[in-house]
Amino acid sequence: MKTVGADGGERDERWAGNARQGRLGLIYDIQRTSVHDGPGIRTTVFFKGCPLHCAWCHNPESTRAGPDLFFYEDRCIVSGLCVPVCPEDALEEKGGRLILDRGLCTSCGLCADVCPANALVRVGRWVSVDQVVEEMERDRAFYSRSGGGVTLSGGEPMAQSAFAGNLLQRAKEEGLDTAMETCGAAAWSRYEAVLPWLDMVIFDLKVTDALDHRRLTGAGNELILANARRLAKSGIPLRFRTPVIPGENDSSREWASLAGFLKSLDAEHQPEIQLLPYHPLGTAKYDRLGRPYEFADLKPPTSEQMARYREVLREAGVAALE
Amino acid sequence: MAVMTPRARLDLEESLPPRLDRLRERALRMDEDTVDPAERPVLVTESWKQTESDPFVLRMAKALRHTLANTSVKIFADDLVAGMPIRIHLCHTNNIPNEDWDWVPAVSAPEWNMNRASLDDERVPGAVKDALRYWLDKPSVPKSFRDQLTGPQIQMGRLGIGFGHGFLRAHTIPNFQRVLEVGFAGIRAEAQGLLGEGDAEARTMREAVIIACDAAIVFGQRHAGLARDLAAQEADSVRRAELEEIARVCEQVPARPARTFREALQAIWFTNIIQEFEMGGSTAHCFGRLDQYLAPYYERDVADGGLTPQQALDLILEFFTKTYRIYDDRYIMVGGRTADGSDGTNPVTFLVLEAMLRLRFPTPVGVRFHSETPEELHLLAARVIKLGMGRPDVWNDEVTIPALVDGGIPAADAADYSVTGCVETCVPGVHDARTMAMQVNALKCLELAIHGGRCQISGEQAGPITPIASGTAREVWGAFETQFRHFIRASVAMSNLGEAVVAGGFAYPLLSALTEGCMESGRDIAAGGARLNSAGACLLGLAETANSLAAIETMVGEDGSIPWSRLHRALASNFEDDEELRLRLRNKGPKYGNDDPSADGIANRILGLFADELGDHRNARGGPWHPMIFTTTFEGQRLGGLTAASADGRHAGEPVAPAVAPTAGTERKGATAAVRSVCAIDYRRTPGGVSYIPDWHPSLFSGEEGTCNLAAMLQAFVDLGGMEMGPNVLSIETLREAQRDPERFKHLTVRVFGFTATFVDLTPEAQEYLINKLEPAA
Repeated sequence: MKTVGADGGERDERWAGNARQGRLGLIYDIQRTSVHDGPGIRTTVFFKGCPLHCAWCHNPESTRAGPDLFFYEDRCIVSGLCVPVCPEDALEEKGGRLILDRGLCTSCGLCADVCPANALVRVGRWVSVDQVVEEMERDRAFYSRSGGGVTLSGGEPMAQSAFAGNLLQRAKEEGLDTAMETCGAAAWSRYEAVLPWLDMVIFDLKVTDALDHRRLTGAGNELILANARRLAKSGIPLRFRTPVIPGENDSSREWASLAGFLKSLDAEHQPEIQLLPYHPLGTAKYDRLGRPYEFADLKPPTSEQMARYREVLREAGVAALE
Repeated sequence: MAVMTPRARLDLEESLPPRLDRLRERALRMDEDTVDPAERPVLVTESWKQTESDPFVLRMAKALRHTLANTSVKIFADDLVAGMPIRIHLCHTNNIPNEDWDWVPAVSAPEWNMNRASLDDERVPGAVKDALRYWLDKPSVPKSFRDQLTGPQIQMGRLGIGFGHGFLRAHTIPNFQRVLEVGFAGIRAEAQGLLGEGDAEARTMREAVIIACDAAIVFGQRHAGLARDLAAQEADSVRRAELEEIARVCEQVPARPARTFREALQAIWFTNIIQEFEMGGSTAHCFGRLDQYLAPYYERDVADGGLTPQQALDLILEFFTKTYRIYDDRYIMVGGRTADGSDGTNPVTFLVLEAMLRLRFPTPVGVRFHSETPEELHLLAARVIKLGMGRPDVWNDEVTIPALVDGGIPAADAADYSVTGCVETCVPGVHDARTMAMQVNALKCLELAIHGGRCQISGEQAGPITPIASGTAREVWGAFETQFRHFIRASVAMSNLGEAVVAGGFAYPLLSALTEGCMESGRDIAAGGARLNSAGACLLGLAETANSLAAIETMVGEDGSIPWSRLHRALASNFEDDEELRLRLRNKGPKYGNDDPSADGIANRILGLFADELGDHRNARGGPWHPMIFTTTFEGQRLGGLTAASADGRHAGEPVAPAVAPTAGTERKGATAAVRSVCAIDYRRTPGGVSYIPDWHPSLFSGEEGTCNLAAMLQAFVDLGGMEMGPNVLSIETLREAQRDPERFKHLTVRVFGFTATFVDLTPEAQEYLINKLEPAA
């Protein structure tokens, strides 16, 4: 029995039911040996689906709340194996090349299963709590020696908060350190529900100006800022992260506003902030998804700029990390 | 299990004191203070001409005495430790009187290793040519070994299936503690006492030991005399006092027991030089557990007020400037358990690593870890590893000691294990480990299994006929087992033949004097005199063989969708018309190195088969075979070049991964998953040693937090039951930069396989290989 999900993709009804109860979740990667998503050596679970659509997103495959398909044309040997298995007739060989009609493709992934060259790759798979916990458990020796653990990231874990909660609860029960990276755009009740199972929150704050936020991410930031205040007040260790997008969110007015916001938080310890330079490594992924990328010409900030921005924040009394 | 926090930054990165900085520069210049490589061939030949009626072992002893009595002895400005280093080798394994000598080193350092000169090379001095002409018609051990080989043995080696030689080529660790405790005079007295006992061979052996001890004693005395002469002429009073102290130290050691830390270090250094003179141009005369030997002297001297930690560090730094050369595999082991099981980590353990941090030479140091190793040592080791020299490598006592015990080494000896050469285990002073005496290429055996025993590169019938009908996993495994066992047995036989040749053709009286069992039995170490006699057998091509068998199990024949006939055809034609199948084999199915128990389990089955078969055999000295998984990078390239297309999607001729490493490009789940796969190998079956050299991008371990994460990786490796790991923390950018500007990166060292090498001195192909290993997998 198939049903059409909110994202327009088809799903097995049984899965949809399980997903609502948080037994299954849609993720697109489990990355082991992560050293930048919290303390120590960690395993990061990347959730699929995000309420924001940041124009610079370096993980464009994370945003849609349904499966996607990567097409690496450079890997394709035009074996022809994929063409007959496609139920939508979205694939054809033409002039010695494989043509993928994105308009017809539903990202069902049947073609990827038969592709010998990994030119067609499924992005997003439904997994159970047990499956993910089993994978997390594998690096326990590294967590315990490094003070590491597991991090939920994405996409937005709070878009699948029941699944995220179940995962975090199980991880905690197994004695693992837990962290979650979030964009803040979810109902506060969802955060409240998972806080007991979290050791740390990494909070992505793109821009404090509400209009800029809407322009750059497609959504307002009122809820996000309110959640940041509540999380700070809750006492959970909190680290902010801001991507530095040259020309978009790096004006002196914005830094002053950001510093003001951070200092206004009612937190026991003033939260830290980490500035992440924009990088163009995600550009190729837009091609693989067949999507346009409007920031293709954007240059990363220089290391001097980054140092200056950190200094500006520090002068304003904010703990900006290296 | 505690979590580590960054310690207050040690004051380690400060610059060297001027004297040590000058010694460091001198070492890097290579040719200023080295023993002239022309001296030994001339002196050995002179002696040999005078001893033609003596037994071989006596001739060796007399050649050593003649060499040490006449070789140049110099003490340079800034030296506190005497003894000229042999920076320029007298060749790796090719030297008189018992090896092939038709290559001698180019005298013009530092290209010696790449360009060995021949007898008609104009760079070879006339005196050396004259000396070498004497040997033109003399027999050599390798020649007589080659003369005795059978057709199938030659074919097996030529096709890259298996090989055995059984040779003793360095790769030993003498009993330094005896030199420190009784000196060569004490050892001489012991030989004197045993002189009349036993058969004629035993009596001659002990006579040779006495001559060798005399040689060592004279060598020390010559340095003492020189130091005294130099002191008499020295105007500067500070330097005069230093020279007088050198004279006092060299009068005491190596003849008599060492009384101080400095004397102990001097005695160890002399012993190493003497050993290199005895064995000729070779490497891997290793230092054993340096920190264990020096710690009692250090502790007593510091307590007495005769030595400060700084002075001890400076002496170790000077020692490391002495041992420096472009290729060095004189392994130094520190840390680890003692014979009674307690933690042997001591202040000298830290000094050795701190010396590495200061000097930044790729001294081949290893650290033994176990469950009670202090965290500070993990952190310090991590700091040194982050310098990017591929050193130190780490060993896990919790696995290695039981493996050696399973391999027939008594528990107290096993606890004292060290490493010789690259990664070969050896118990110092008691053990002739005869490392890498044989090797078998498992992937080539699988090729033969699939193709009925016929080599797909040469077309020759090389192995037993093993027909496969439908390609079930069971059927293929059966054929593989037949081939693998056949070539293990053949390589054992070939190695034992070599051992028999060696027993009559090599003799090392000085090394035998420093190897327990030889003096008592009256047998030279080459003739099996050591108390412990094992032989190392290398398993090659582990990752590719496991991946191929895993692919067949999951995708081929009755078990999968690919018909056997299609796979067979594709492999025979090197995937010429079936790229689709090659990619499927490459990209789908389980691969070793991804924490996948099914692929890792097959790797263990292959190892189990290897170890089981070897368990049924003894080496020619009556000792056990010690399986090891060790392939150098270059040997992996050579053997891969001789091996046809394989069912893991590998083209004919592509290299096989070195040792226990996963195949390059097949690791898809990150460093921890690869480490877990590597740790899943059952190292209780590999007492001979293994090698794992992960290449980690430095961004994983940047900053102080990164140092802690790296230390945690080392600890987790031990927790998970790994055996040996020598991480390379390098970046592609650095290596590319070094290719563009070799002059600036002259001292950039990388771990190539067992030893570290200067990157810019590697061939362009080898440089590319190292860089490719760092490129992220597609």
